[in-house]
Amino acid sequence: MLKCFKNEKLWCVVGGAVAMVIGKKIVTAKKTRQLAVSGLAKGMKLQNDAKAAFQNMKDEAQDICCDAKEQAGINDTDACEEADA
Amino acid sequence: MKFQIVYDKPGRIRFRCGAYAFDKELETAVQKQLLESAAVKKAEAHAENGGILVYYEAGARQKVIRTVAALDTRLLAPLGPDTCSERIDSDFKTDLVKLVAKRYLQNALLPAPIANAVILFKGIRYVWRAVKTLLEGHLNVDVLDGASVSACLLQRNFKTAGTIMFMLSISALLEDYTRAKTKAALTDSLAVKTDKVWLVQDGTEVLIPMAELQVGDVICVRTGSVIPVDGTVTSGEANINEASMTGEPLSVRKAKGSTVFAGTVVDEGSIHVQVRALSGNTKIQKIIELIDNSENLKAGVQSRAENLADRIVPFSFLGFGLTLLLTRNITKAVSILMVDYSCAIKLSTPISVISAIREAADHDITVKGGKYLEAFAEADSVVFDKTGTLTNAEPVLERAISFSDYSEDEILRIAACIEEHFPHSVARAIVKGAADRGLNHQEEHAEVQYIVAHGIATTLHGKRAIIGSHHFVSEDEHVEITAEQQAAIEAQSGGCSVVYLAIGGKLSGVLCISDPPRAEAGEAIGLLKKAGIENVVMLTGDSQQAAEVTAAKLGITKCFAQVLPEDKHRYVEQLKADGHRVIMVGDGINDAPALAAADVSVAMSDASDIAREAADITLRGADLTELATLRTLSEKLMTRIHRNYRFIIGFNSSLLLLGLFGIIAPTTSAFLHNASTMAICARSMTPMLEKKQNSATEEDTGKA
Repeated sequence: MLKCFKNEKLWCVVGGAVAMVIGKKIVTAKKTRQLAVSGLAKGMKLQNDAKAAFQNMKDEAQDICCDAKEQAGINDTDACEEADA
Repeated sequence: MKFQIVYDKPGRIRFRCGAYAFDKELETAVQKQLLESAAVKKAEAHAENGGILVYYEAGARQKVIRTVAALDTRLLAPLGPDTCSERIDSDFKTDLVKLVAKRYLQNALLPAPIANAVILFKGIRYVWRAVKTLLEGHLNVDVLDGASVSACLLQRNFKTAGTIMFMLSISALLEDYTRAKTKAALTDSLAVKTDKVWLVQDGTEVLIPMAELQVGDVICVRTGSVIPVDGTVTSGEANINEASMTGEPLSVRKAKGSTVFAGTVVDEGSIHVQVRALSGNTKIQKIIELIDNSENLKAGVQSRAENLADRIVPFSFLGFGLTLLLTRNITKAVSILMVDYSCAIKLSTPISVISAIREAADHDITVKGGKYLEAFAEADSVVFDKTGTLTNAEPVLERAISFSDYSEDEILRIAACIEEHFPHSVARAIVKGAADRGLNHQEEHAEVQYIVAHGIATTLHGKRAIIGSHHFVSEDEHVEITAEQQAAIEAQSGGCSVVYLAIGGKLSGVLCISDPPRAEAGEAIGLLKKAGIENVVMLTGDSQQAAEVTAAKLGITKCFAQVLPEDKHRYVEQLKADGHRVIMVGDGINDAPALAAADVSVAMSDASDIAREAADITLRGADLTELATLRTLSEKLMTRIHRNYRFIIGFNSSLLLLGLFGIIAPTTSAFLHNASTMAICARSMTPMLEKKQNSATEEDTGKA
């Protein structure tokens, strides 16, 4: 009887089963869900902020480009439109 | 809308409303709303940061600021499928950057076992798709992709598998982009210029594009036209065929106060309709979807190329098997799988066709499918309906001849008095002829009776008065026309059409009407002949003499005179039976069967809606020389398709051989294959004709 307690594989099975039960509890727990949702929301917000920041940079670069053309004397609205395109 | 001005220079201002100010789907609607202001030259909107960039006319800064402030995104609705060219460009760039960044970040950051697991996971998707395609009984390029990926995975060559999948993703992305871009360009070209309506403004009629029509406007719709909007009749009377809505074949009489619906047809009469609801661009979208999807509309060369491309796939596998057997080197064998002819052929052919359709649209020609361009390139005969096609359908009164006690002026006055009740082109010529000669008339006749396609009957001073064709007056009404009278008519009419007037059962006089050909008709026919169209045929209801005069003037090779409207299609069918490939050019309601019978049909800009529906190609400008332009375009398209085809076969075969002899690696092979595919697609999008010099059109496109 005691011999079987020394069996490594048995402990692996038991350990695996316990890990599954605990893992399921953790995954389905309300707190975990809240954490996951807020984590995802933060991630999405971060993504949106990054997109907004990237678009701001792009806009500002376009504006600088447009001003540079104006200073160089080659600018008119059409030239800017070309630069923006 | 709240905003901050982040850039402000004369003519160019940038607002920032912050992220979440409007959704991505509303970007086009915001742009469109701003462009409706006359002060705005160009507008851009970006949902990411709520940015709005406006180019405006000098001195309109305050107006632009007010317009942006007044924007209420709650009132805007997404504008259907996104066809904005700039949006497609920016989405493509973002997706491409994402794809490349993801690949290099993965390579740099992920430890080898995890990176391999990711590649394996991605690879399984390709393999699964290949298995699914095989189970469905197809052997196409999906199977090729799946096989090459699985061969690399089985070899545990994860790096090569990853590169191949990366190449395939880029290729798919480029494929979607080129398709979307070509379709967007076509939508733009069509949307600006498709349908036009007669707007009634202060008692006069102005021809405007449908897009400019507003709810509450009043439009004029005449005989043979489809009513483009839902609305209420404000004046006039007409018989409306509502078969498209109700299935009822008989026309319904509609007068002031009646409701009419978009898609119904005015059979007879003329009405003013106040717009209640606009139908939008659904028709254009429908045409584009048809061009893109309908197998029936695909050019024969396109279908043949696609079939051939699929048929080559088994040979790629055969090559793979043989190489593996002979060389025992799986790397060399995979090189064979990396190269396939199908995607280049399948992609470049429709892109060439759609680009040509778009280019035709820029020349004011609407082509409803690739197969019509192919038929146009192959045609050797063209059949023209005379009135309204070779002529402007604006007949002119040449002279009146009297055979009674009435003077020639009196004959003209009586004819004008009777004819003025009907909006027929010949009737208008007679009324105008009388007015030009200063002949005023008073209503002396009783109620008039209109006999469709024949003439008019009424009672004048107690006698039956009839006016109409020879057939109507002589055969239906049994009025005697003596041989002397006939001889006098032939001698004096000089090739004009003749309208007969009989009062009290006796021929009182005739009116000679001519319909001068369009100024450019002769030149257009000359150009068509030069482009290889040998037979130029004219069908007309006129007398043989009148037809011959016109034919000689325009260089027409064959003409059929006194053709009854219902017989036109028989001439077209006869030509086809003689082995000719026929283009039919027409404009009237009665041309529809002939248009349908021809290999390819063209309707003129001012054609009846029924003819335009029946025709495969519509000219939106009134210039007949555009037919020659279309011929050049269609021939160049065929040359381009065949040249692409030869290049694809030649280049990819060389790649196969280089791979086979181990000179290039599978990844190089995949790169060169995809790069050549994209290069040929980019080349297929380039214009084939010189750009049309039409400032008005360009302004329109710019604004759109």
